[in-house]
Amino acid sequence: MTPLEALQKALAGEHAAMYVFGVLGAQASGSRQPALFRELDSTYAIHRAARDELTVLVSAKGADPVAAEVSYDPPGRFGNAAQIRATALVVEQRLTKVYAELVANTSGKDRSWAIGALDSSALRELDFGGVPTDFPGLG
Amino acid sequence: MHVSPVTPPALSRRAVIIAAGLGLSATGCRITRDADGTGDGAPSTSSATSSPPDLEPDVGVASEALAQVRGLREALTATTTRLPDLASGLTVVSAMHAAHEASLVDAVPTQAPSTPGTRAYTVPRGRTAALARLAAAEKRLHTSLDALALRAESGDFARLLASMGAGVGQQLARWPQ
Repeated sequence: MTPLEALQKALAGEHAAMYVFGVLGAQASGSRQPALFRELDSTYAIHRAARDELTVLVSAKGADPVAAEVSYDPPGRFGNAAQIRATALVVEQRLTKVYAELVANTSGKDRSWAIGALDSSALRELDFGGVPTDFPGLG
Repeated sequence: MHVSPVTPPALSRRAVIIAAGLGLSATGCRITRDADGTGDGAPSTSSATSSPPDLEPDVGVASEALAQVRGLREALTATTTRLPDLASGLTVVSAMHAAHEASLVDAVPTQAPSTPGTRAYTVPRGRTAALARLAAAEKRLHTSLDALALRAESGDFARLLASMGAGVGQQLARWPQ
């Protein structure tokens, strides 16, 4: 995988994460589940920022950033708070793996960015009920 | 069109660790750095026949990582020896460092320096201070592992080191009080 391909894959992942967190946020109630709602809202903003940064990184290589799909299948159910958290966790775990892969396939400033993204994604797993693992993003 | 989001790569941790046996394994994948270090370089491969193990640049990175992980393990042991009631809360942290050490030890030649420095770790008297000093050491390890991941020539080894750093970060987020 080339560095550009790895960046495009991460960008595609962030497109998907934004979509899914939008769906999850729409299912959560700001009045009945304020903590969950705030968490989803802030996580959505984090993914939007990462999406934008990846777009810049891809463009800097002279390539067109991969576009978002029209829609995505959320990787889980979202009928209640527990399901919403579980689905959010799956998204974060998948992104952690994608960012680990980005670390492996880049160097220099791109890898530095990927390491930070991996760290952040691994921490967000905990926000949605994940438990610490010895090797986040591997396995 | 519906698309399954974020398909993870099919790569086991063991496979990564084995692949991260650096140039000491039969083949390795490296990133070719650009002169300006911007990370535009494309992966390239090397083989043991063209690059003798003793010249592998990541051995130094692995040795440094191993020394730091071992240093942290010694600090943990010193802390729980002095304050045994902390042991249960730090069990998972200790297990993580053991797993990290195991993933590194095969990559470091026996003659390479991989033991912690001679500076002894001093355990504070009180529980709160002891946990705080240990957390500070963990933060330094996290920062160091991230820096070593950036230095690594092997992409697979960089991924392993960065993952270890992320693991330390997760433990810090759940640090016992």
